[in-house]
Amino acid sequence: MFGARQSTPVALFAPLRRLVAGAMARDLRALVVPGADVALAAGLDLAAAGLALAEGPRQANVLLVILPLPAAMLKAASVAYAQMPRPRAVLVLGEGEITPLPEADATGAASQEGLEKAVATLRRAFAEGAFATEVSDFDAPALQTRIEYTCPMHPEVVSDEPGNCPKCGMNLVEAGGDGGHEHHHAAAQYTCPMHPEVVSDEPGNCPKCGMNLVEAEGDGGHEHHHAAAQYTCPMHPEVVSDEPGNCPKCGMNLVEAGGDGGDGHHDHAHHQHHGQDGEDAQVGWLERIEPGFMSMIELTEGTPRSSDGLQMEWIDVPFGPLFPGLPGGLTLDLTLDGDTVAGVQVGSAVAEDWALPDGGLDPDTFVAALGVQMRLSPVSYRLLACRALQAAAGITPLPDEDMLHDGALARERLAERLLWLAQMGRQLGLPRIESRAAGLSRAIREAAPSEIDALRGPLSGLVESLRKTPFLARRLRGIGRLDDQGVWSGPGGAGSDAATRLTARLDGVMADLAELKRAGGISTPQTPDVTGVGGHGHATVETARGPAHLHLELSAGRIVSASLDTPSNRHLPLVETVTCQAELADALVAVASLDLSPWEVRA
Amino acid sequence: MSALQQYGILFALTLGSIGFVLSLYALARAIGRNRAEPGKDVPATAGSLSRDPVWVRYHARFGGYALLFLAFDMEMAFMYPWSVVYRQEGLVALLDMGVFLAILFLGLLYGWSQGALRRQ
Amino acid sequence: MSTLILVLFLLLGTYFVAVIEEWSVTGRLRPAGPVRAALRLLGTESVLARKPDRLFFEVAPVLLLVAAILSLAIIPLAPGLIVTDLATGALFFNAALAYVLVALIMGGWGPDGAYAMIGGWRFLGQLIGYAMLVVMPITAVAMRSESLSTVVIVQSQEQLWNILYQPLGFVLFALAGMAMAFVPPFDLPTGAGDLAGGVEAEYTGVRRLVFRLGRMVLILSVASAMTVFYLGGWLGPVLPGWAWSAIKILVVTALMLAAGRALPRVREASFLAWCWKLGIPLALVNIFLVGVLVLVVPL
Repeated sequence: MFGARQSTPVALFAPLRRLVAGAMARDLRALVVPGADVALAAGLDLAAAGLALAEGPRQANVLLVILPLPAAMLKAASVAYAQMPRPRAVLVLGEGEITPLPEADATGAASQEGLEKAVATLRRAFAEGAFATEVSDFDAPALQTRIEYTCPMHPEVVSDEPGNCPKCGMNLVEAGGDGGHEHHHAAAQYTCPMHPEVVSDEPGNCPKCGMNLVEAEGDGGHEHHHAAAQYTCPMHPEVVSDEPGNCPKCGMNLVEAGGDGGDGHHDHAHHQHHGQDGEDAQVGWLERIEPGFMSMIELTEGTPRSSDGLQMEWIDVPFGPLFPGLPGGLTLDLTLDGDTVAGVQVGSAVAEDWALPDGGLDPDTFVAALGVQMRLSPVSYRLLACRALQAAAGITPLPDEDMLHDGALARERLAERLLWLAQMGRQLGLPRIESRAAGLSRAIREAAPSEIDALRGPLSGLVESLRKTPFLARRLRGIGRLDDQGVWSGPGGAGSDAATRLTARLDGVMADLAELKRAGGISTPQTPDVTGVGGHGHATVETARGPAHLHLELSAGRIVSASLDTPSNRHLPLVETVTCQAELADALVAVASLDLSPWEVRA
Repeated sequence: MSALQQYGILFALTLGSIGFVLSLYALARAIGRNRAEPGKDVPATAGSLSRDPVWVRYHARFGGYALLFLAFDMEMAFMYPWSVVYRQEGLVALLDMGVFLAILFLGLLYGWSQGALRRQ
Repeated sequence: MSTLILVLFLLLGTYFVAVIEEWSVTGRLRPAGPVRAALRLLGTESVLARKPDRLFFEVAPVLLLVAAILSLAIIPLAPGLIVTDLATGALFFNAALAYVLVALIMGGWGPDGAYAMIGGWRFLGQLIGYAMLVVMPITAVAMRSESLSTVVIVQSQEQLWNILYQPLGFVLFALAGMAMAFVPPFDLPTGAGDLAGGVEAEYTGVRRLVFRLGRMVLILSVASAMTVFYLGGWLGPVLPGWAWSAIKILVVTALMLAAGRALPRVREASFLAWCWKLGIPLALVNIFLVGVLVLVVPL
């Protein structure tokens, strides 16, 4: 086993090591790459196969990789693998490339049977090889990024780890390679937010009002934003002032009330934090003060300002792509002010760019590729492609067959809604809901029409118990509220919050069941024969996340252009709306309530 | 048993627990060695390698509650001895503490009205 | 002899709590689960983060375990079966468990990891909510027993258990106790969905084992305190005292963990608001009611 732990040479403890290795073989905790949701969509029951879900790489001893995966996700997997404590193993399901991960300790097909066989192999591997006298390091390109840290006062102090300067005890800062620091700093000017006529080369206080001078920059600095801002009392919205200060009614601090909502605030905040400005301001004052003299005012200078006006230090924290509370592959980088989200960057580690190769693609390959990429909803997107092809070729589908396809669509929608429920249960700490929804989602996804009726009872039972779960609606109410004229096209409609979206999805479950009954049967779509045909075609299917559109252009039986519009791709920008200034847990619930599929995101 | 002996026992319990932990550590050390590898010592953040230090001044949003908590916590120091002699003292004790608690409770209400009891 | 019984109680109690805890997460009762998990952790590398606050990181799990064990020292399992019958037992319980906060903040700060740090500070917010609701109901219990000694507290319930004498206090203490032991739905510092393990996230191997042990003993300790303060401790017919204590403690633990299984994790903001806007006024009402009852109906 490559991930074996190096044992001590003391032979006395060999029996204990055997005992421990045996226990490890029976107690496997898996970190699933890309995520537990994909395992569920692939029909895998990890608990039945003897794998518990780990919260993170530190708690895992098995890295379960479900292939195929894009390079960005494998990179994240290599980081997670490096952070798992030894003994650790890699279990690979499906076919594909896994570099930079080490060789798999067990492999299998991406099916329950394949998983169970692989777990049995893995157990033997643990029992026999959890400890080894000789082990070799794991290394990957992702682990090699080196950042140097230096002391702002003593440039000769360089360390590759953050920490304190051995000479003066100050925090070391990241050293920029281009030396842009000094240059940039020399150009900075400081001005008073209240008295724009006061301009100084150095930070300090305004001679007129004593306020801290702020950096004056043309590119959207602090004061620029301030000048345009209005201030209002959080308790008395009728109090509006052009200047910061206290509310005449209650004496509370006035807060900024920009017309652009929290958005503008966030932009500026983010800029301050990430860009050079914030750091430079820090370097600027640091160079001017005596070592050992640090007043609170100067210490906080240049640090970002929170919503309540306090100056605090913010941190950037990645949540994803392997975060247990979010869909696997979604990368959410939060800038946190305490436990409040001050900025967000969202993306996908599993996105593709959807570009067609030169010369187009033949329809079969196109349909298959779409099905593989849309890992969570392959049937819907295959159907979408087939319908668009039919429209482009001018083929009128048979009504009966179309009904059966609608049945397949409704079945997948049902499975998807349940998959989302399982994930929500995991995020909110409702293990019972999680396991019930996961089991039903697995059962529905491949269920034959005759089996659906048997699942009707458990499904409505689950919906009922969700409606009755104490405090659940209260927990979700008001979180992730979307404005009325947004781009949201998913369940709940515009103006919904996490609670109404949950209700809408539960209603959707019952509606899908009714539609399955109406369809009367299920048949998965086949690629239509479009040999030699040319033309344009457009199709829309209703997925669990909202409508997906595809526009195709056929030329001589080959697809020469395709434009795909997926709900998750449209909804991705909403993440910023729903997380802005929210508490961390609320922000994560809000993001989860959008039900984004990172697979549907365009790179 | 004198109070001193009792605290002696508690001290011994502390030492015993620490000894138990240390012996566990020793056992774990005897089983295997730790291996320093690239990336392993970076705090895990869900598959992203984030080397940013996070030791910053944390923005606590419960400042209003915290101040009220201090007032109430001080008051509790008086409540314990009071509760023990309560039955002996009778109604007087109830009135005494009632006045004291009423003032404190008014403080709570005042803080509430001023918006201290919310996330800042 | 009694020392042996108490050690046995600690070991068995921790084991049962671990079994029930695993059930509350996975829905499966596996008697061998805790033993396997402990052995696995013992043999796993215990990774030390780069540039940690070594002192904080190392002390936190030990402190959690020691604080929890110390708080168990004042729990009487039967007449005479107690480590130390302190005259200030109820106060000591509270004092020992105040270190839970310290341990969690140290453990959160130590490794310089974001999830852990946020988890630690969150627990500070949680303490501000629950602390008064632990202390105030205990005061009301002591008003009835005229003593802070846990043995006297149990004896004072001979005619009527406190859960019936002061039900309001029991509800408040039970909820606050759960928050103190950070069991679901109050697992803000360690929630999987929010923080991927939070304070526990950076602990691996044997350090994690000690942390988990501390957590289990803490749950055991809170369940024992509920039993002693409100459920009449060892009191009960037919069976010997220690058996009643054990049964009650196990049932309380199971109920506590089962409740967490059915409820979504609380939001910190609403937890604080509930504690201060409803909990503390109710706790004061409880003290007043008990005060009147004690004078009017001297049971």
